Amino acid sequence: MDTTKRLVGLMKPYKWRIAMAMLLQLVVIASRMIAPLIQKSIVNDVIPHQDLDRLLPLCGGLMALVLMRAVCTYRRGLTLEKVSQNVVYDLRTGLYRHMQELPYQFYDKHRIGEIMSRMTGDIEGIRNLIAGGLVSVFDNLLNFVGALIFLTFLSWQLMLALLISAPILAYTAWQFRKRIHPAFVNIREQNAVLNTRTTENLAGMRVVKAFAREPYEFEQFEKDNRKLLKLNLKATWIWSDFVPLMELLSGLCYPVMLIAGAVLIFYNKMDIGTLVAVNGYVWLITNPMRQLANLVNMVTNAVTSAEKLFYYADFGAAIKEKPQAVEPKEFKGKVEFDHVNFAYGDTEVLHDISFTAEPGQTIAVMGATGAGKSTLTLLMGRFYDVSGGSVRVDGVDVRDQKLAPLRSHIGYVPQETFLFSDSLFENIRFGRPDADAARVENAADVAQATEFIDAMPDGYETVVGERGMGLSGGQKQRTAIARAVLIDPTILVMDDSTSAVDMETEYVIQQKLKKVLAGRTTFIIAHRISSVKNADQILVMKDGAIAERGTHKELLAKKGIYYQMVQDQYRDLKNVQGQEVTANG
Amino acid sequence: MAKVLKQIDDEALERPFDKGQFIRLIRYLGPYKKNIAIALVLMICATLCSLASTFLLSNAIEELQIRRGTYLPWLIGAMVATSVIGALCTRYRVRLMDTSGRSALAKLREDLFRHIQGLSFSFFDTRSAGKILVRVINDVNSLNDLFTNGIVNVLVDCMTLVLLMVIMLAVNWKLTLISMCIMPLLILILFKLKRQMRLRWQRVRVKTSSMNGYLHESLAGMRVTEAFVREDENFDTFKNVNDDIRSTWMRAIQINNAFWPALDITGTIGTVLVYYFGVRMMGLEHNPLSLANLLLILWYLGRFWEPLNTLSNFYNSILSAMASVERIFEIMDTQSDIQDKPEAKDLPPIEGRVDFEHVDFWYSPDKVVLKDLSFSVKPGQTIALVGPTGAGKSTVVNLISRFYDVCGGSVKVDGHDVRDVKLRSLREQMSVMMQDSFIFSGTIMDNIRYGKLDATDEEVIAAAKAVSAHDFIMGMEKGYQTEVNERGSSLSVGQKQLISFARALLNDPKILILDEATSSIDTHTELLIQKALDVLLKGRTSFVIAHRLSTIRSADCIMVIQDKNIAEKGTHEELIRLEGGHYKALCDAQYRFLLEDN
Repeated sequence: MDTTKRLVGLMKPYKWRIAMAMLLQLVVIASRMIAPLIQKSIVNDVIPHQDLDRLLPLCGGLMALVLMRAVCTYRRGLTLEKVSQNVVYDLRTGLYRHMQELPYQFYDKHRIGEIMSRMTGDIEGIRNLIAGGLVSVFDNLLNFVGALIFLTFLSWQLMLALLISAPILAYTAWQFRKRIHPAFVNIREQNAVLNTRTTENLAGMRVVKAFAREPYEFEQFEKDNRKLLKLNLKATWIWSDFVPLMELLSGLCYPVMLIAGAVLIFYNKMDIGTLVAVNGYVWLITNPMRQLANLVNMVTNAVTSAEKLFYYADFGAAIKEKPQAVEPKEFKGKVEFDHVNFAYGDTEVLHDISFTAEPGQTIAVMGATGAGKSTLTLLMGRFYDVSGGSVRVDGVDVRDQKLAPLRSHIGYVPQETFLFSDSLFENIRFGRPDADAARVENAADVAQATEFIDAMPDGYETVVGERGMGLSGGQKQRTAIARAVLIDPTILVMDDSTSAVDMETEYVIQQKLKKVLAGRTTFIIAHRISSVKNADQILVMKDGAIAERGTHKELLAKKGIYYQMVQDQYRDLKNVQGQEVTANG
Repeated sequence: MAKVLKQIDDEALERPFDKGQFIRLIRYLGPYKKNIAIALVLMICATLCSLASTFLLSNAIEELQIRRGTYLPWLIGAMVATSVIGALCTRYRVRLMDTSGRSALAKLREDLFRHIQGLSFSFFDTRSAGKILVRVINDVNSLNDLFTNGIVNVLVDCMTLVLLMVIMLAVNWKLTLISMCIMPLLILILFKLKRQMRLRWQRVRVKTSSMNGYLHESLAGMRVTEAFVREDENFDTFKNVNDDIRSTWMRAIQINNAFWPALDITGTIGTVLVYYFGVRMMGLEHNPLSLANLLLILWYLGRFWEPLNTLSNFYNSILSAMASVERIFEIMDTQSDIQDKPEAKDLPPIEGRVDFEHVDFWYSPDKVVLKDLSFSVKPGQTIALVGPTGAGKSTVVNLISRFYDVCGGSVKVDGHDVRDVKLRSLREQMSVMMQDSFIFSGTIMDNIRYGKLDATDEEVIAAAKAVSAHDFIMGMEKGYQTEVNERGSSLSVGQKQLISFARALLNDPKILILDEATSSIDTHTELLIQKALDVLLKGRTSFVIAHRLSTIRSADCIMVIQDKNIAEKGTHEELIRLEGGHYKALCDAQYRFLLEDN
């Protein structure tokens, strides 16, 4: 049980506090055991002889006992909560830090929802175990054993009579758990279904309305909603089959106690005060049995949660700087790919890629979806590590470089734009949080974003992202371009980043970029010939390898894949202009 | 991105009690009146059983004390009986109440969802989908407790309190009054302390949900964060948030953990009082207190806190339920600004003629989008709409399918004002395709069939073939049965578009509205889309917000929307000759981009 060991390891720094809490709990349990004895004494010694002198000390003793118990319970709770909060804090921040170091592979493989449920639900499971579970196990165990011992001394016959209930109750509680658990799983799943259904309905509302499918949507929703109702009621049925039954079984302990007690009393084997005291222990015997199933469940859940969390913590190949990592003397923007291979698990994505980009050059990468174009550019910032060959930026293998300086010289405009729920202003200066307004506005101007930003209700202060104003695809892309331009990168990567921008605007952006980023190395991934034809080098990728390379003119002369693309794309223009277009400017 | 931390949960957590809304809510339980009444009886029965059981036990002990066995078998028998009856009552009470409460909530949720379906775009424009979702799911869920337990429990608990008091007073009023000394303390704990507890936990919840929001966004944007080297700043923020949660949590715990010990102490004070005075009363010559009654008062006193506790919970849950209720009814009270007129008739099958007559439109009066726009389109024509971004091209097409209503003038389809016909009959005869083709989660087959729900598999495949989507679909692992969805789907932008074309073709509309996507698509798919468009546009009145030169050129009429109206109108050949015209400038810009060395 490696996981259990590691789980214990998490609590190790706090072992003295945990021991302290257990000690306090011991006092609580002891006081719980002694209280019925005081009652016994009142009933047996004080009442029959009206021995009022002893009443006051007994009452005072009871009060003192409970005060002590209250203080210990309180302290114990605070101590364990503090421990659990600290463990959770360590776990959460530790994992967060770790996630920041994970390579893109991790995010390709795991959905955000899944990671979120690890970071919330599973961590909560561990918190629960430490704050409540541990002490509960300890508490219930000692209560049960302690009550048995005290009962044995009071009347072993009654103890045996009451003990009969224990296995029955434990078995019932166990059965209950076994039946209710899958019912709850079903409910959770159906809830998720309903959630997805509603989310999609809202996201696709335009399609729903366009096809006038509201009644159909409602029907589907109603079906899922009714199914959820049915599942909920099924859980209720199971609950109502078991919980009142357990209540009944615990309750029947009292008649059992009475019958056994009556026999003993009539045979003078026991006195009435003892019976009253025994009454005070019944609950201590029945309750642990009812809790048993829950406790087992809580512990196993926490272990499963821990297992999943440790899987994340162990997610290998985290890209880390070497201790002796260096920085290039000067970032000029020279990029060399030297027989680079890259495999994704068992699938080879890039095969034997070699090329050199001189500072200031524009490199265009073309090819069908899934040809490995984005991966290629991401190797430069070492978001993935190559599986063979090497990538050098300004003469130094990226694996030997310090990560932060390397990455902060590369401006990425990714294929899918992600904007944070913050103002446009903050989003644009994301890479340089100290940039001033002039710099932000300048970057926005280059990206042709000024016009739409000015038209927004709050201008640059408009909050965008998931929780803010919805931007159109083109507006998002222009914001992302501004964000990359602002960091004044040595190498700029435009990954199909003007796909949602109309051609006229794209043209202007390219003109402006050329001026602002004169002398910088630029990588352009695009489908439109018009976007790539002026590049110094065009790489045409096919199945992870470079199929053709050269300038626009060279590639046209080759009459290969590139030539075919040009023919296809300019067919349009030929038709429009009604004349032959050679497309070689 | 720290904004996330402030933005989340700006919604009220609690609201004062509002009788009108409460009654409106409770009305949902109306159909289950009978069930609830039976449940109430069962619950009262269970409570009586449980009170009786304590009574019987105390008397049985007394029997034993005086060593008299006469009634003992009866008392024990009655105890078993009350336990069994009590358990049975609880069992059926829970079933009845849960069925009623949950069914009522299901109905409420359905009403809400149905209402949302009927709302117009202006509703969705101003609200994020996330917020609407929370209302349909979480707000309704949060009423569950109130519906299934709360209301009945409160009635029974009030009754229990009264019963306890009456029985105790009847048994021994002096001792009862003495024991009642703990009441103020009990009420203080259950209402004041509980209230504080609740407020502090609320703070924890708010903080936790903002942390989750921050975390979610962090993870979603992790690639950007890594690319722009913002790890340290984000880590600091995250750490601060966690520090904050930890201390907020501990503040809540400080009060929370005092609850049980305080209750324990209060209870013991009561016990001690009862013993101290009770034992003396047992020694009285005149009318002494019996052991049974001493125990009864002792045990009954220990049962006071429970009903009081549920009452205080109920009070708190009412406050938060009111906040949910308000949000739910706020949506239910929003009237769609686009509704069928009472006298609206079905639009008869149309040919596809569209007329705009002096149309004015604005979202807000100070920002007029269209002014006095008039044009008419004959059946089967293709109209290309061009113009600068934000000039109102989308608005024009949105008015045809009546996603918005005109502010002046009228839009007519086949001579019928769109406001005079039933919405459904109007929209069923046209297809609208947006820039981002939305894919529902389900199979590709289901997604295409969305255009015509009763289409056979053959019809679906035929439509896919017609728009050249068949080949790529068959290339997928499970063909038409491949499961797809909006996020993380394996479909490219172009493929999504082809699927939505097939969907529209299956619908076979007389009027087709197409917001052509600008997305650059790989050359092969691009060709497929071009071909598909030819099939799709044939024989229908089509409005295309066009970016592709080929679509623009082959349109029967090109309309340049600029400055709130049509700036230029005509065929490609006519417009290209207009020197200084917008269209010419647009074409020139594109040619330049495509051809010039830059």
